[in-house]
Amino acid sequence: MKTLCLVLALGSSTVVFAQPPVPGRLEASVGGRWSGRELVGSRDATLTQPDDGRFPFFSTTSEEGQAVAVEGRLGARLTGALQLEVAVSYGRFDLRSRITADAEEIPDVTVSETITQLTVDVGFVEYLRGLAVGRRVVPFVSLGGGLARQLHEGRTLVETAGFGYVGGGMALLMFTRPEAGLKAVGLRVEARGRFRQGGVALDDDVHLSPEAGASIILRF
Amino acid sequence: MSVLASSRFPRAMGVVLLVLIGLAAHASSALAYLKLGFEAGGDFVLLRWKAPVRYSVTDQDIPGVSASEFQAAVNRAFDTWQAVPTATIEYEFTGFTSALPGDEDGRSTLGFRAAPDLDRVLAATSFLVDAVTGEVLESDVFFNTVFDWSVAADGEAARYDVETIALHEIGHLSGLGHSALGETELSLVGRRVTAAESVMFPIAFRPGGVSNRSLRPDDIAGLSDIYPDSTFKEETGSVSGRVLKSGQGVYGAHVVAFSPRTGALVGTFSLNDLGRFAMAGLEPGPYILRVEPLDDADVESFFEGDDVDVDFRAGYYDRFVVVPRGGNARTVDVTVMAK
Repeated sequence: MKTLCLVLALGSSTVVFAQPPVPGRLEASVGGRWSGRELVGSRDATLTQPDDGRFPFFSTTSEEGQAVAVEGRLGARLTGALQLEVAVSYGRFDLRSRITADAEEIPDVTVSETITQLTVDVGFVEYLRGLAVGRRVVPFVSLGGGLARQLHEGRTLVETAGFGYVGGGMALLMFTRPEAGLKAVGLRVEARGRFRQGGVALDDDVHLSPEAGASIILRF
Repeated sequence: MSVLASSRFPRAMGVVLLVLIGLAAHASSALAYLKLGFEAGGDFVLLRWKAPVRYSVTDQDIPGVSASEFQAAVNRAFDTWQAVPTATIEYEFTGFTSALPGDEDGRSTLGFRAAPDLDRVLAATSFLVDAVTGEVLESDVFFNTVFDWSVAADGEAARYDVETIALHEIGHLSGLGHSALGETELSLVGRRVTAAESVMFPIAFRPGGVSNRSLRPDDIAGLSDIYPDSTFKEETGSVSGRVLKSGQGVYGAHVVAFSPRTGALVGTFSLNDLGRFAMAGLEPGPYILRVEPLDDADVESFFEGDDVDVDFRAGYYDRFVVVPRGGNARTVDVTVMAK
């Protein structure tokens, strides 16, 4: 048992020594984010029949279209590899409903509106320095959650969604100057799985959609 | 056989005016579903009770339904309307009477009456109003004994359900006109309703059923619009706009708002030559607007006159209409195409 503990300790310290440092304690970034479309509810318009059955008037299937947003983020390193982040994004997407199977044979049609969305989230990033490629490319995993304020077209109604995410990506440090105030400049790319509930969604389900983003990072 | 659960009325008399349902819709440009109203003192006045509606019931049995059973069924129907959480109207049973519905005695009376000449009318509601002040003096509802009636909990074959028909007529008594939220098909004996999503649809389901004993969103929105409680206008919103064909307003188009979030359907009509429509009492959120010609019931069930435009194709507005909380959605112009 003592031998095993010693081996583990040595192995651990070997990894630590191999990890490149992530310079600076603070990080700011600005970039863009893409979110994939997601189905947000199907509902039929129905009428009551004499036998209490439902008469299909027409059917709807709704989705939130792809979204593009600009994003700003501030992070503070809590430990050598763990970073706390606060992010804000602003973007737009379309809410659409496809109407089919009309009882009076109106041709299928899609109705839509444009949603403007502001999100605020808090998350954690763990830099996986042990998996770094050289001293400049550091992978990371991320986890967080926040709120999305979603403004309907015409500025008539605001709704709030809650969301969470898990993801990961790479931080590419293009140059580092550990002795300077601006200690590093780099590029961050990230992919996430986002789960969201509420807001303009037309059902109460939790919806999962892919997200991808890229941003310029500045480390201080 | 499809039967109109609608309204025919005696003539206006003396200094008071008896209101006919169709006239109100024709004259109203107010925010409306189809709300009843009348001319009083030179103005158009919505039919609205100022105080609790006190009603009595004719003390008369008919085969299969005693007066007390009739009163109990009617009372359940009144309770259903009174339970609308966003409306303030109240009803109060004052007792049995020997008077018949239609007697002008200052008392609102519901009861059976034989009207063999109205062989397609199950029941009807009449009003006595002050032609000067607009005050509603009384409203009577008669149930036609030409038909067979039932108060059985689960209905009885070949008999019309008193509670179901009372629910419809009490909607009129409270100030609501007919809703067009329904589908019909023509048969050898007339129109047969295949489905409806409002108890105020003008054609009754076939006898034996009891599926129309509960109010739908269209009914609830309509009653709440007439008798709003303190939260109604803060918690719900409205939609207004125009229905246009070749740039001209369409009169009498049926406009339906559907919430893809809740499934609620609420309907109204374009009520003037400019094609203007409006509906209130909608839960906040996005709505789909569907516009169709008034072809699922006789036009006379809704409007007087022959200038209702039914020469256009049904269609949808291609944008969501977003209803705010406590306000009006942006005004929309829905363009329809001639057939």
